[in-house]
Amino acid sequence: MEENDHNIPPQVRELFHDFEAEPPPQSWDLIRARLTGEQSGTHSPLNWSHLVGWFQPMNRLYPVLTVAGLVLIALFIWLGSKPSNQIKGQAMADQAKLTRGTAYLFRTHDRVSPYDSVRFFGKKELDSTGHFAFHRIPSGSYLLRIHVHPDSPHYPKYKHGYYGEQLQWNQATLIHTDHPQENYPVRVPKLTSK
Amino acid sequence: MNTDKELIGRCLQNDSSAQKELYTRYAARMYGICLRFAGHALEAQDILQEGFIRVFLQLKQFRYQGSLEGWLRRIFINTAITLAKRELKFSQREELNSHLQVDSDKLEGLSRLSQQEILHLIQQLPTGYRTVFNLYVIEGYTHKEIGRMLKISENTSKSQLFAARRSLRAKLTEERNVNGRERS
Repeated sequence: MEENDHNIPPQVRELFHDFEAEPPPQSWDLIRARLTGEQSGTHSPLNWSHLVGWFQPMNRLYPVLTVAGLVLIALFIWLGSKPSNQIKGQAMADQAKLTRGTAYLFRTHDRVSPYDSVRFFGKKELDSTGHFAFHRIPSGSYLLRIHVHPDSPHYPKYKHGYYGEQLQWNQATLIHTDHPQENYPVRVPKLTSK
Repeated sequence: MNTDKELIGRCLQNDSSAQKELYTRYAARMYGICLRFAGHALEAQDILQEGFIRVFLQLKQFRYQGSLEGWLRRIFINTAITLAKRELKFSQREELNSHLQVDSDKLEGLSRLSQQEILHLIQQLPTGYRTVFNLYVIEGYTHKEIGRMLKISENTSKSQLFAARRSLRAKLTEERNVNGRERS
């Protein structure tokens, strides 16, 4: 103890340091009852002292960590629920790569008559090697069209084509995401002058 | 009679007779601590119950590096502090008062009172004064240690002790006057 700067007679400490008092007779029964509950995990869910303890300065980090954990879990669920299908490939004109063009993806919405139910889904510009890629697309059936830009050296001999080397949309080969392929190369048919 | 070590071993196996024996062995001493830290008997009983629950739930953490009584004492003091924290409010104004501690009155009047009379006076102190008084004067903690335990500054602990002393002196004077009037 520091120097006795409290000016309390030392007898007070002596008198009280080993002070004993008989607790009320029912105390043990109350402790025993609570102890049985605590050990069997049946204590009251509304124990305010636990709630107060949760927000004590030392424990203020717990709610923050809980919220951060929940946000992370939600993020994982959200990312997991996003579609993971992809359709990628390369556009060609004969043996040459098509470098100036656009890939269009159409989704079919009817299994019985897919060609009558196509709707535009998205488009991607071809890169310098003629590649295109559509990521995170929902499961289903798709039509893939390549449109050759007028400033392309292959234009106007090559104008457009569908996956399956077809000029007509209703003759194109459908792409089904439940039977995925690594690549979907599109060979644009050459136009013949009649 | 079982030694503390044997008793602890049995308590750890959830032997209820051993738990009762441990309670019987230490309840009176621990209840004495509870009465000093509490404002009234009901509060003391709450501390006693909560303290023994913690003791039995944390008994496996006892490392036999000191006496069991010392370990129990610390648990009961910490329990009393935890339960009192809701009422503990220390103001900055009181901290300034620590610089005014020039009073050298030894409060000798206290040593003329009985244990029960002093206990009654201590219980009448506000929670903050009472807690610091108990920790410093009776338990022998330093102001630095008290500061850590109560999450207050050393100076606040000093000023709480000073205020406790001032309050005790006022109550002693009051009682002396009442007794004087009764005698005359």
